Amino acid sequence: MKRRPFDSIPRLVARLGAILLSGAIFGLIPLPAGAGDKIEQPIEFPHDVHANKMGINCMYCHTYARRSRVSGIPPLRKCIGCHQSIESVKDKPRIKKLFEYWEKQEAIPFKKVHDLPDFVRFSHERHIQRFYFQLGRPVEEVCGYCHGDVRSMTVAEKVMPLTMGWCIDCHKKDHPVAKGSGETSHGPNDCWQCHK
Amino acid sequence: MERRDFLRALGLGGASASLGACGFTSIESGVENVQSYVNPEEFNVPGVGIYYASTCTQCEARCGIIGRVRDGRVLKLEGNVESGLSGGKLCGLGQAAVQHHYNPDRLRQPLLREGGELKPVPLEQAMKVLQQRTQDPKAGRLGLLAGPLHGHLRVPRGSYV
Repeated sequence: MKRRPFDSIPRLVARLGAILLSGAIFGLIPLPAGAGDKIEQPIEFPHDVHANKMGINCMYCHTYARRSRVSGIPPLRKCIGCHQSIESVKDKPRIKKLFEYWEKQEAIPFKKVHDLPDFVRFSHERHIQRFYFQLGRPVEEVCGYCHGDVRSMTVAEKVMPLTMGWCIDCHKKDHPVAKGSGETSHGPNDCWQCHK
Repeated sequence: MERRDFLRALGLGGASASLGACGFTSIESGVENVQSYVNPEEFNVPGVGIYYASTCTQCEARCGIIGRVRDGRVLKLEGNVESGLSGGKLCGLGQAAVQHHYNPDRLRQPLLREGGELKPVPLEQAMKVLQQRTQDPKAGRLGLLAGPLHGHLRVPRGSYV
């Protein structure tokens, strides 16, 4: 009697599982940093201290968000600018490490957490200009929509999927065009706006 | 049956591998480093191009060019409209000039031809070879292959060669 493939479902499932497992082990199937994976950074920068406790606006450090496609990791000079005068934390280990990088004039090699594929064109400037400057929404809401509640994190963690479907979900919503105006529009939904 | 099993496994594996990536496009999260600076100029905004006016050095003409530099890398050269010489145009030679930075065959270090092959050598050794060959009275003729040299770069060529 010929052996048919579905004669043994458990065996089929076992084989499939083996394929996936070996794929994952050998790196053929990428195990993505899904929501919540904490990525280790050279210095564990505490956003909770800076953004929450000190109440610093996101764009004080991530200053390029309003004028560039990227929001930018602040240049080392930005950290030193404040910390050169803060006596109370001068001897903490992370601050010491910070100043070591400054002595060597070396940029801290932070790992990119919110990484979109190269074929996606995402412009921070357009989003910040619309939601923060034009509509006047609070910064924790504007940045937090995609980046999560950063004020509760130390290093940045990816909490939103940042997939195309997720972006389109928001683009489909109708937003007011300007503060106080009755006009609404939704974000661009044609392919070439993001896949230039 | 062996072949069918194999093909089945291939199909299942491929399908599950491609489907596994669904919903997680940021598959490189945590892998690459972020570009960050130490003490940049104020006008240097990551992700935004800076346009510098310069001169093309690919030939004797020396056309005025505008180069777009983003994150420290020159990406495109175009003729400078205000240049009286080229009137905003740039020939193919000028467009190709960015290849000095990106072509895999670009010169990155001194090379010395030994046994018919070009071998990378440290600069000190290259200078020593040059010194020996130019000072050797029995050396015969010396050929210098260089791009068009002007100004202070031209002086050593005139004086020593």
